[in-house]
Formats: sequence, structure tokens, C-alpha cells
Amino acid sequence: MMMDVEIVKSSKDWDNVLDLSPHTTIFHTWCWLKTMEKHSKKKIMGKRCRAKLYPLVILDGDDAVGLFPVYHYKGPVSFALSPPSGVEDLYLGPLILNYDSLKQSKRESRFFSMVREVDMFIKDEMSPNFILFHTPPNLLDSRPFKWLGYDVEPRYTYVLHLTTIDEVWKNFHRSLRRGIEKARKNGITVRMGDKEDVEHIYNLLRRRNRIHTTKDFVSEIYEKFYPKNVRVFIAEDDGERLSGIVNICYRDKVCFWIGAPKYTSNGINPNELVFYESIRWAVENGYRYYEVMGADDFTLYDFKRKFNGNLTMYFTVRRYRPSFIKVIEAVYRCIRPRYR
Amino acid sequence: MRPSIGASGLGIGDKMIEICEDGVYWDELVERSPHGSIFHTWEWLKIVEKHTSSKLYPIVGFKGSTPIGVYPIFLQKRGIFRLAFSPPSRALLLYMGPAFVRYNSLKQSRRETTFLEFQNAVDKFIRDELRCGYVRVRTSPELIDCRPLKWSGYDVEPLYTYVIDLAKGVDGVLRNLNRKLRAGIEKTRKEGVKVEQGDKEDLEHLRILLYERFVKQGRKPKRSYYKSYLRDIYRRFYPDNLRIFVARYKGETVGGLVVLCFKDWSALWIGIPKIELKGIYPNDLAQWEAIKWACENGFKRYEEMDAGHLKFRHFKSKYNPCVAPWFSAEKCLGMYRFAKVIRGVLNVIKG
Repeated sequence: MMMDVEIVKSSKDWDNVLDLSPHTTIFHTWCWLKTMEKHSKKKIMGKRCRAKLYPLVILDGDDAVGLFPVYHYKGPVSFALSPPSGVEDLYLGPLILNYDSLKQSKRESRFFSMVREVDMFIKDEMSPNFILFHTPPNLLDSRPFKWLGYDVEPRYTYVLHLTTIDEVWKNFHRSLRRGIEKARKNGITVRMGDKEDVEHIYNLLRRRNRIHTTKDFVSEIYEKFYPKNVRVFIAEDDGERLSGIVNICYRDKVCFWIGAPKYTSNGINPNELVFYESIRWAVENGYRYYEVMGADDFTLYDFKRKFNGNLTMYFTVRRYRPSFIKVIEAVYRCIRPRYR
Repeated sequence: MRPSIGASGLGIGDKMIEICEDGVYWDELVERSPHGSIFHTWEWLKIVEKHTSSKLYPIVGFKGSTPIGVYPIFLQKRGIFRLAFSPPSRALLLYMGPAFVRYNSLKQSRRETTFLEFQNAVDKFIRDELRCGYVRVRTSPELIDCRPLKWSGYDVEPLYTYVIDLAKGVDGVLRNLNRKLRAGIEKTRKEGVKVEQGDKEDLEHLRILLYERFVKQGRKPKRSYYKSYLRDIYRRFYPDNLRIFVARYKGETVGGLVVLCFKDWSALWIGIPKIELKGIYPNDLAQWEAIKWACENGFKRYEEMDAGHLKFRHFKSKYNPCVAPWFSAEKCLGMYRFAKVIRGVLNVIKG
């Protein structure tokens, strides 16, 4: 199957076909992609390099069959990334249009041809030394990348299925339920937040070194996407802001995006309550899923597991050019302690 | 009541792992586990142990007195190296690994802690008792969480298999097949190809064809490749868990496959290499007859084992299966890590 790869020039052409893929996330929308391009920078050997977005459409004849946003960083070493660096994005990668309605044989041959063409395009246009993609959740097939010689690693995120708030509550870990009750009893309240609250959350995260993007980026996202796609929840004690989270609402899912800096005083954790209230908000507003983003980080595992979300898989795929760079990585992995 | 099964028990906190010596008890746990496959059954493991020059450690995990799962580990000694596998290579097996009891009824957080604790206990056993520096575990497709392995220091790679849902019945599955495949099957049937259930001799014939395929691929298998292994598997598992479907054309065997079945699962295990015959597709017909047989005998799933090969995907994907990931996890220690780097470097040099 021969396919063509083209760079999309207008937001209309891009956003019009987004709905055709079951794996589309808000990060794939034109506006989010462009905002990320503006703010994403990568430090390569001490040099700060700006990102250049390639919003690629894959055409089979005249028909668009897939989209693949790729960011290129040109420095002493060249990178092709999707999602870009330093914008708090967990996944992006390819979208295959009409994926669910295709039969398996068509699905995989289309996906394979698409990735092969994009891989060639990247090689010709960007000649990167390092390629790294995180594919969108629920796209369970990573074989096209494997067949093209990429290293693939499975990743996970937690997704709660929202039925009724009682069901969700029952499914929580006992200690989480206790924590929420305790916070409530101690007078902690949760309210919706605004731009100033987003900045407050950002500052709290920055202080704890738990955010890796700029305040400008977060503010711009808020300005562009509030209130339709971005919602802020703030936990307060007597008017004093303790903690908060910024959520993304897209399609039938609400995602926890940034926030919840570690905060406990007298054994009270406002984060648990703020999550609970935002989940309740999602249920009341008819959303079907709530994603507690990222289930791989063992240090955050103890907090996130308590929500008892279902595991959803996505993949990290990487490739080195020339491949001898892989040797350096292999040596590094050899030195790094493995046995716990 | 916890049965007395263990020869050696290792205390890991309040959790214990034990080496099981009671095949009936083991099989009962495998039967209860959603990850328990035919490859986990006691007799299959014992046959694998016999034919792969390895020592089997059938580990059962306990929480208090309640069994949480089984974890078969095979120890192999190669020169100065001591290696642990689940499953071992050269036994025509894709996956094995841990099989947890009552897993699906647990909350997600409980599933994770159970797996993580069991994995840690098994790792400790492999390291301290078996003194292995290399472990390779390949988990069942039913187990979608590989994080406990990652968190325990394994490098994990996703692998794939194809699963056809038989819930819609024969007609439903038939409707879903690729149009060309349907036409091909019909044509093959009209040309007079007949599919029958085979026996020991057909299995032997299949083995020889398999052997010839390996020779053609440039490998150097022994003449007796898999002979006694397949004979033992046949003796124990035919006809309840193993069926052979062969396609015959003008008195000759021109296609076929070996199907395994266990609980509500059936699978294409070994297939006969494609024989070039113009305009007819005996392997397609044979597999279709196997799927039909599985449907009619109440199996809920039919797996076309291994979806990892670019080359073979066309044969399997035209039945319109779902693609299901499973995982290969590897961990190396000390000089084994060094050996792996050398191997990696050689691979890169070879391209």
C-alpha cells in the first residue's frame, strides 16, 4: 500500500478529521498542538532548542487515513518527538482514522503503511538522532513500530468508569474513603477555580519540582480552553488555598492533568477530597470516564492506586540513528543497578 | 485448610511461597485462575521439564493460608550460567508466567499489590535459592498489567497474539471473515479438499514438515526435533485437550494444524507450513473447520497464537481477530548483564 505524507497547513483541515479516530485526545487538537509548539523547548547539550511542529496527514490517494503530529528539535543532536518535551503531555502519537470500523487485516496493513511512510518522511526531512513517541491510550497495537525496528515499552494510565457516584465511592480504596471523610470533617471545602488559582497551583508544584513546563504555557492553555475543556478545582480551609488540580474535559472523558502537590497537615490530605469532588463534578456533568493520568511512576503509585481505576495501556516507542547510540544506552543500562 | 504440599517454604513477611508437589492441587489452582493456561497444567509442565533439560520449580504463593497463584519456574544450567525461565525456550511455548487465583474479582489496587508481592517473593527465591542471574518471564495475554515486573527491575517488551471471539456463533464469525478468505475457503472445498481430524501419524507428518521448514530457514534442528516431546504431549492431551485437523487433497495431506483447548479457550498451536497449490487454500479451510469445531463445542475464544511476525500476519489477520498484547520480561544480574550488553552490541553491529 503506497501512501503520501503531507504537512497540514490549516486548523480546519486538521480538526475536521480528528473526530474520525477513536484515539483522539485533546492534545491532538490544532490549538493545543500549536500552543505546545510555541512553548516547548528542549535543552540539547546546553543549548535551548525550539520545537517545530509537523502536523502530518497520511493520504491514501485523496483520502486522509491518519494523522501524526511530530515535533522536531534541531540542535547539536536532532530529536523527533511526539509529544513534545516540557509541556506536561503524557501521550500524543498517531491517529488512525475510522480505526474501529476497519477489519483487523485492513487496520494493521493501513497502520503499518502509515507508520512506515511517516518514518521515511521523518528520516528525510529531519534526520533525527533520536525518535521518541508515546502513542495514545487504547491503541493496543504497537507492532508496526516493532516491525520497523523501534524499541517498544508498555505504559499505563488509570481510567475510572463513571456510573453513579455511589458506585465510584464504593470502589475507592478504604483508606481513600476515610481520608476524604476526614478532610471533610475538618472543614476543608472544594470550589471551582480561575486563572489565579491555576497560577497558585503552578507555584506550589514548582516549589516541589513536580512540574516541568512554564507558567506561561499553563496560563495560555487556561485562556484558550477554559471553561469548555479546562476546569480547575481548589481545596480550601477557611479561605486559605491548600491544594488544587487542573482537569481536562474532552469527548466523554475528564483527565486529571496537573496539580495535587503533596500536602498533608495533621494527617489531613486535601488532595483526596479535591479529586473526589472533581470526579463527582464529572459524573454530574455526564462524563463517562475519569482518567488519573499516568500509572507507571512507582512513587505516585501509592496515591493513584487508591482510586481503583482500570488500567489502560499505551506505548513508548523509541529509535536511535545511527544505531550505535543504542550501544551507549546499553552500556548505561548495564551500569545502572537493576536488582532491587 | 492449607494442604501440606511444600518441600521448601520461604517466609516473605506474612507471605509464603512454596514448591508444590501435589499435581492435583496445582491443577485446581490453574483451573481457578483466569491466567491459567494448558501450559500451566501439571502434566504439561512435567513434560516440558523432561524435554528441555531443565528443573521445574512449581511455585505456589500464599497470603496467610489462602493460595494467591502459581508461578512455574524452570532452571537451566548452561556452562557456568544459571538461567530461570517461564516458559523455557524450545518447547513450542509462547507464554506461561504467573497465574493468579481469584484475580478478576479483586479490586485493581489489590491485584497490583498481590502481583507485586508475589513477584518479589519469586525473585528472591530465584536469586537466593536458585542463584540465577538471568530470568525471562513471558506472561499470559489475560494478564494486562506488567508494571509489577517493571517495578521489580525487568525490561518488558510487548508481544502479540490474535484472539477470535466465538460468542457470535459460527455465522457471526463467518460474516466477519475477510471476503477473499471466504471465497477462498469455498473454492477450496469445491475443488474437493476435505478436512478431517487427524491422529498420531498425522502429528508425526506435521512434525516432519515443521522440521523441514526449519531446515529451509537455515536453522539446524536435530532430526528428532520435538519428536518425543510431541509424542508425550499427544499421549497425555489427546483427544480432550488436543486435536489435529488435516486437509487432504487427492489422498495427500496438504494442510493442517494442531489445536489446543482448555477451559473455554481453543487455539491454533502449530500449523503446517504452506504448500503451494494453485487456486486452493487448504490451510485456510483447515483453520476454518477448526474454528467451526471450537464454536460448536462450546469454546468461547479461539486464539491464533503469535501475531508478532510481519510475514505470517496475513494468514492470521484475515479471520478478523482482535489483537491482544502479552509481555516478555527479562532481568539480568552482574556478569549476565555484561553478557547481555555484549549480545546487544553484536546485534547492533550485525544491523
